[in-house]
Amino acid sequence: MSLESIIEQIKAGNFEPVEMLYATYREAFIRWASRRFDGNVADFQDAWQEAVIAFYEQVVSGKLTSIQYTLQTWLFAVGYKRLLQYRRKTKRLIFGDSIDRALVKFEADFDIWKDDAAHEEQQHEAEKAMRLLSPQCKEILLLRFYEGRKVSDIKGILGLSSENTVSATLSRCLRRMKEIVQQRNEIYPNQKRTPIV
Amino acid sequence: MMHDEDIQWIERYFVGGLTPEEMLAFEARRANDPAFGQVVAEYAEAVQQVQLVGRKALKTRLSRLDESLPPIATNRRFPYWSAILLAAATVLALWSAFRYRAQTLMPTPPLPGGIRDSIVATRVVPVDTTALRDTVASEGPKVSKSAPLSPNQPSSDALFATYFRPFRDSSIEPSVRGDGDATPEEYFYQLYWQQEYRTALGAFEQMEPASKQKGDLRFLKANCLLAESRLNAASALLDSIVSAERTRFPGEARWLLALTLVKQNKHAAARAMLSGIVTDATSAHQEEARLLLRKLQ
Repeated sequence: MSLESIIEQIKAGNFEPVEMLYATYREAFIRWASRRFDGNVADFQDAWQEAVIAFYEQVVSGKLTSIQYTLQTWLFAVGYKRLLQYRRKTKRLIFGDSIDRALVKFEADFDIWKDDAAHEEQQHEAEKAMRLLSPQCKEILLLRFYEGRKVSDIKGILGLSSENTVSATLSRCLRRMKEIVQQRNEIYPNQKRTPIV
Repeated sequence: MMHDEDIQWIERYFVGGLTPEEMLAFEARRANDPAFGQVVAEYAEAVQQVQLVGRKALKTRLSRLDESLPPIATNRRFPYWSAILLAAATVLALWSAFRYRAQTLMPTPPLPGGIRDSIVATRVVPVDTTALRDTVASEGPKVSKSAPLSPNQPSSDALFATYFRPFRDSSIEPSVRGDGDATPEEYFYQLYWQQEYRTALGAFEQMEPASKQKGDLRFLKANCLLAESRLNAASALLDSIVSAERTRFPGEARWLLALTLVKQNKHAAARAMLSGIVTDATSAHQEEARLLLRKLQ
């Protein structure tokens, strides 16, 4: 499957290519990473998940439309950067495979973690906030702001009567989410926040 | 002070409803009006919270996929300390075997009379199983309820146990309410999330008739029935969900129905359902269905 086709399917809301990518290169990545980093399979598996999720998010947000190397190289290099961020001790410093060459030549492409502060604690806090929303609000917000679905798509997915209804529901749910987050921030003013991009 | 129109404008910005001209005006206002910029930032934070939850849900989904994939052993250096431990364990085992052998070959010294009597008195009396054997024989030959598919294939029970996991993802995680007045639906979700499947089935029956007709809740009920091994009820419910009902989990329902059919030894129907899943590119169970189908064939 070509990169264009994968991107097209993901943008249409199909998770299948994401899972296919995940399963196809998972073993190769874990073996590759285990030769470079001290860590256990769970660490490498976690980095691999993060790399695939990063790919999904870059596609959905429209930041990734083409690459100058193979998709496998992109995923491995992003996973590599993630492992570096975990500060795993590298076993060796100099390698010479295609991923290293891509990392040297296109380093900026893989620096997608610098604004990312999605720590487990923050995710937990976000989940707690979203639990206060109705299931419909939760679903519509995820469709719009995580899956990047268009208002017209959401109308079909949720069986809503019109695009105006979708927009109105989205506005109402987002306002409620903002209120919940604001209240939380007032109660816990010192809590570490996600950076505003 | 923000006006309602400003708030609507900001919401339209996030929902994606501004024209290019409005976008330019919006960005200009954001840059020049700190109060406006602050509200925009608050909305942006709300959006980021949603994204964090979405990311976690996707991670959960990939973790579930991991469980269905074969485990990986990395090519790590041979751990020498393990070899030392193994050698020590071998020496210990050999020594224990030698000691045991030496003890059994050694003549047992005669026990004092009192001790010998107590051993005789507490000897286990063998149970007469003749009557039990006769009862079993009179019922005719027993065939295992879940006979192996063929001598080299796992049983239907084993296949079901391998693949069945009650459905779980963050979308059904219940809300935590501080005031303790959970609605019957919320109570059902809570029990389901806590894996209290039997109690959840009781809670389901306590719900309003309208709630009992909701596809998503009925799908979770089917999961509870399966977890409680109530196959026939689960099968009927899943069949109804798959064929007619609206639910957010149609693919999951089809997969569960296929597994139920396997467990019920209805292999032809199970194969047909699995074939459908295999050809469905959107199914989260495509690969599992392919493996299971191979095992059934």
